[in-house]
Amino acid sequence: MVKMILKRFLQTIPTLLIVVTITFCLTRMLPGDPAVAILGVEASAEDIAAMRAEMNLDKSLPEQYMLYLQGLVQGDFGYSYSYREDVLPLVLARIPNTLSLTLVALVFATIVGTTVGIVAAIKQNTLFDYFFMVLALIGVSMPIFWMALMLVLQFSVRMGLLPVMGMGDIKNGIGDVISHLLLPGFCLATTPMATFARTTRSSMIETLSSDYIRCLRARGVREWKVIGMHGLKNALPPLVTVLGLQLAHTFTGAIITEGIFSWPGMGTMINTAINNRDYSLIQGTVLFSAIMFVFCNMLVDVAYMLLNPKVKGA
Amino acid sequence: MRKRKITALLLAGLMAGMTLTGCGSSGGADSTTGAGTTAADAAGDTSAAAETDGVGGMSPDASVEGQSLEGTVKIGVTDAEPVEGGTLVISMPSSPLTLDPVDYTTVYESHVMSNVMETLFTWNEDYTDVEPWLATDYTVSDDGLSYTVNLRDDVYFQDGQYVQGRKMTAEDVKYSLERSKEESATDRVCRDFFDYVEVVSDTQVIIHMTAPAGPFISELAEIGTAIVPKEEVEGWGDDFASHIVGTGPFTLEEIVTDEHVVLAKNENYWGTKPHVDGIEFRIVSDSNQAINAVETGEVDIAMYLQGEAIQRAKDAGLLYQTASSAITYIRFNLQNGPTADPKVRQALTMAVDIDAMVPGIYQYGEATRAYQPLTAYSWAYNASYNDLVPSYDPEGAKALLAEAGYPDGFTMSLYIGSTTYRERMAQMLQYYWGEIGVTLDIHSSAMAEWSATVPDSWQDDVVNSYGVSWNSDPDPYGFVDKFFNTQTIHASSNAGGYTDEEMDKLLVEGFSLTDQEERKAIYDQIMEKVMNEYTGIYYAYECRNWAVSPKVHDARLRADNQVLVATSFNNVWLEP
Repeated sequence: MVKMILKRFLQTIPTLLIVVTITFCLTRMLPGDPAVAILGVEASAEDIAAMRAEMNLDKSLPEQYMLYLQGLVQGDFGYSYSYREDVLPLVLARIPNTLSLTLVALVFATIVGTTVGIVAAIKQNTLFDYFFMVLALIGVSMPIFWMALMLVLQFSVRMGLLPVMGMGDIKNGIGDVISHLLLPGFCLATTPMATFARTTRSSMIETLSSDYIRCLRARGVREWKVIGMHGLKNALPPLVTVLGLQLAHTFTGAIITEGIFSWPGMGTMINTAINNRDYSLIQGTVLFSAIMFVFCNMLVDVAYMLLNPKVKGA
Repeated sequence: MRKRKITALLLAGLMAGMTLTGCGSSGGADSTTGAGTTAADAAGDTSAAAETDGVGGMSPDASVEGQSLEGTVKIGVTDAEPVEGGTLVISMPSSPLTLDPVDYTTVYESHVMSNVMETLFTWNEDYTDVEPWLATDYTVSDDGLSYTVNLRDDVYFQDGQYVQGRKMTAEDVKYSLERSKEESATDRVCRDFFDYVEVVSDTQVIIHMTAPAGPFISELAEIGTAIVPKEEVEGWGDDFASHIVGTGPFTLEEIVTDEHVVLAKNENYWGTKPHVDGIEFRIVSDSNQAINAVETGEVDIAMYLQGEAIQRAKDAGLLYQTASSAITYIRFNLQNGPTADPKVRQALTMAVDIDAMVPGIYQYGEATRAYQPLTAYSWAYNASYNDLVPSYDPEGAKALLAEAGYPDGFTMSLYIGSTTYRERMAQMLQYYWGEIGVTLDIHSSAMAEWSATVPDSWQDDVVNSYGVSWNSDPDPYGFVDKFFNTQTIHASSNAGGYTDEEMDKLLVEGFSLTDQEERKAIYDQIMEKVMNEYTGIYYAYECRNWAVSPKVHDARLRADNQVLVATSFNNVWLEP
């Protein structure tokens, strides 16, 4: 088992190397000069040249790439010229904010999504089922930014219940934190919630129609036991896959939600970085997102092994 | 069974909530209180209105109600008994990144800086001219090479890490101005002309120049030349950028990047103390969210509204539109291609119905028609030259084109940044010019790419015209010198390649004179010459769009996007 995990871990290294290379190339392909972006269009040619030299931009691309890789190996992610700070602490400071939003959204999505999925599976082809599956369809296809603005209009502007934006401060009490989390959390949760509901439903329907469930029922096992203990357990594996994928998706999808709600996470930082042609910061944030993505996939694989021992050998 | 019911109920409730909000979106227009009136009243208060009448009334079709062309707009009541306390919350779309006067480059930074730090001179209430601030008065030598500046004797720095309420002296002025010259990444304090500062006494300095520079004193009102204490700058090193100390009415308390910047009232301020306890600049990147926050009271003033948010602010009675310190224009390639011929340029200008085009581009009334390459509230602005822009006459344009040797028209290119406003403008030009047989190829790209293509494009026949806007303080130098000086021919501001010996002479003269009346006479000549050469179509002043909560009083919104909080002529207070 440990060997498997270790092997899986080592496999992530080439993936990350590819990500690093691609981001490096992509940032270099962005039109516009980072030195100009920092100094403004009115800066003199000498000032710009000096800035370019300071940022190593006067070196050839392979040289820049090697320098960047060297830095990475030594744990140096570079210096962000737009924030005037090292990239690593900058990114590390933001991760908890994004992570807390993402996790709240996912927990919410999992609870509501799976519940709806299970109920819909039990009540297959009833009005309840149709209603929620249509709702889930809307949930998957609705643009987050639209949904966010509508929710704010209703709950903040009209009803005055929740703050429009920002992140709460624990200094003002737990209520402040929660009230600031509700709207962005819910918005971010819509897509995974809908996905969970649909996945759970189909997985449950499949499980509930299998022979052993029929046997359990025939033996007179109570219905809630049949569904909750025996059915759900076997319907779980596909859910775990979806959960892992959604975790990564939500993490990156938080960019839009964070932008709308002025949530000080990775998303707002990526936006600033791109607008300022801040190469090191773009590379840094993309790399961290990639690490998150790869890490989530790894978690899914491991969880799969635990849930379904048959996978181990594969 | 019961559990299922509860879940179902919960979800149904959720669903109902969503449906309600869905309907809510269309019902936003019911709260129409007097937005237009408030803003229009405010505009009427400003004395400079008469001068700009000629411009303000030009586009009857544009929804310009409440929009003003003055440099400053007053907000709220100015004569009531002010209330002390409260925090003024101002939203802006992007974080200030460095607050060091020599390093800052964006307006977001100057918003914060100008409340914490102060300059020797400052812009007057109408934003037309500068007046002494940390200085008391000044004299210029006849040769324009030295300025004797007397300083206030009662100015103290805020408490910082290395200075505790020390008095500001002439040494600080010397240090700050010379630092600004040496270390600024962009041209500050007219650095090619400013030589050094001589300290005469604690309250007097003589500023020596290498050559006369007319705009010098107004450059000293720019926040990049703010007076800072040496101990703090050197003590903090690079970190001074996030620990600034100045002499201003507010002190910097906290910066959380991408979240907010908090300022607190400076209890030891030498001038009139602010009514508000502090200012919070909150970073809100989404305009619609900024409006929502003003409506709920989370934000008092929202800056930089865009697109539909402008309409929403208007519907909610919160909108203010002020003139901008920028001119939006298209310029022609003056050296190569068909547009090198002034007749062709005149024809292209005549072919466009600018009065109809401007409200077409700016659907929310967020711009006013312009005529000249200068802001309308500048002291050098002379409305009589507006008539030099040929009026809309497609037939006349066709005749001119034929005269110039293009009876069947030609094909030309237009380079713009890919924003809605520019693209809409380009499409309209495509239509208008199409009517006279000119085919327009639109090249729309990211601004960064635009900046890489357009400068120096006069050297060949690829870029025939380009559209962009240019921003500067009201001194005409900031516009005409950048547009028409041979020295700027490699810069983006003169990418059309304007070069003319007579013009260069006039520009040097206008720059080196220190008397404003004399300068105005020169700039009149310059403007008349330029307007007769059809260098471009200077079509719009895009205005600044703000949403201001009705509880904000005695604030000033200025064309360069600044909210003035505590100055010699205003002091914001908040209605509880």
